[in-house]
Amino acid sequence: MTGESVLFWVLAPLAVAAAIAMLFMKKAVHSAILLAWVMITLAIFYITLEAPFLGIVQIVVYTGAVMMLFLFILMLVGVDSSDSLVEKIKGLRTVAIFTVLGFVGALTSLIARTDNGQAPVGLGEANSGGNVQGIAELIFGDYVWAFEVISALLITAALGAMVLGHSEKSGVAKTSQRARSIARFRGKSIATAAGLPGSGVYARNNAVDLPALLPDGKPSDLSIAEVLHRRGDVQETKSYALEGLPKIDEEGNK
Amino acid sequence: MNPYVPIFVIGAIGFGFAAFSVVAGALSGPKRYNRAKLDAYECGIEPSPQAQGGGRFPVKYFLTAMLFIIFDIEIVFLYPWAVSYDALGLFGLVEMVIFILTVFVAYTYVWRRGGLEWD
Repeated sequence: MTGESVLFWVLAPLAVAAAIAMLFMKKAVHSAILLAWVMITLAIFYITLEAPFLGIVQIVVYTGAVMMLFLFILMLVGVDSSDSLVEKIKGLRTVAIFTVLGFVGALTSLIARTDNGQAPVGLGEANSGGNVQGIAELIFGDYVWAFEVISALLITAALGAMVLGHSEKSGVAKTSQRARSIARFRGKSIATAAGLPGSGVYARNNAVDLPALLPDGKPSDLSIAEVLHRRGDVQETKSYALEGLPKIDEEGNK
Repeated sequence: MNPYVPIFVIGAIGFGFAAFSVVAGALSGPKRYNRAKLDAYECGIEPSPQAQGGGRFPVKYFLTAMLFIIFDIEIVFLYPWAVSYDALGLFGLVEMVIFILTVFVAYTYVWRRGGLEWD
């Protein structure tokens, strides 16, 4: 028994088990981690089959880039969102079942026609000038046309991502720094011309969610970022308010 | 020596370091737990119980990820080309220039349509 077959019989059951478990995981993130494991075992198989470049590319592109894309999509959809069991497209289930059956049939017939148990032939000649050099010779020699067509495929990918993920800006023009500066000094009030108060000034600590305290102990809403207001993440500071002092409003008028 | 031996050695060192750090940290460090220590770290803000929008990312990241994959695949082809640059000669150079120019069509499209602008 060679080292290669030992590696195969150890890793292949693990890969198949991970692939099957991936289908039955309740949480999508767990499925993604199992998929990454399947991809890494495939990379190890490629390397043991004398294709080190393909193995490294499998790790770089699949476990690196494609897994990252999968995880991004999980985060887009929401980690906690569950599968909908309702057929959104009519007849999708039937089509899916027949496609799977056809694919299984094609795979079975292909595997049945291979000559099992024979030693691989020609690996030495293929890698005689180095694995990467051999691949370069094939890609840039025999398969030039396929190689150039791949760039068209990449354009299609970028176009698809733009169509699906990019929304054109509305008509609202971006305000330049100049326009914002003019608005600050020539606007309705000059109270904020020197800048907004920082968070946490004169308060218990200077965390960004703690409003600054005005001289009378009243929290200043202006000192907290708009996004924290909207998230409702602003700390309560009412207990610091002092009684019996003249009330001052945000613009400093008594 | 088998060229994969150094890779296994590096992997073993990495695994050993991670295992040593976790075990040594658990054995030697003091264990004083309180509510603040078990909280998620969020730069001084009280952690919100639920992330905004159920923890969902904006769809803008998808475009960035897709662009990354496109250039990742370009690198995959650039590497063997660079390794056997001398053997391929001028023909290989012309092929690669055509390929890079075509991929840049995609990049220019995304860039000019404002796909790279964040706000």
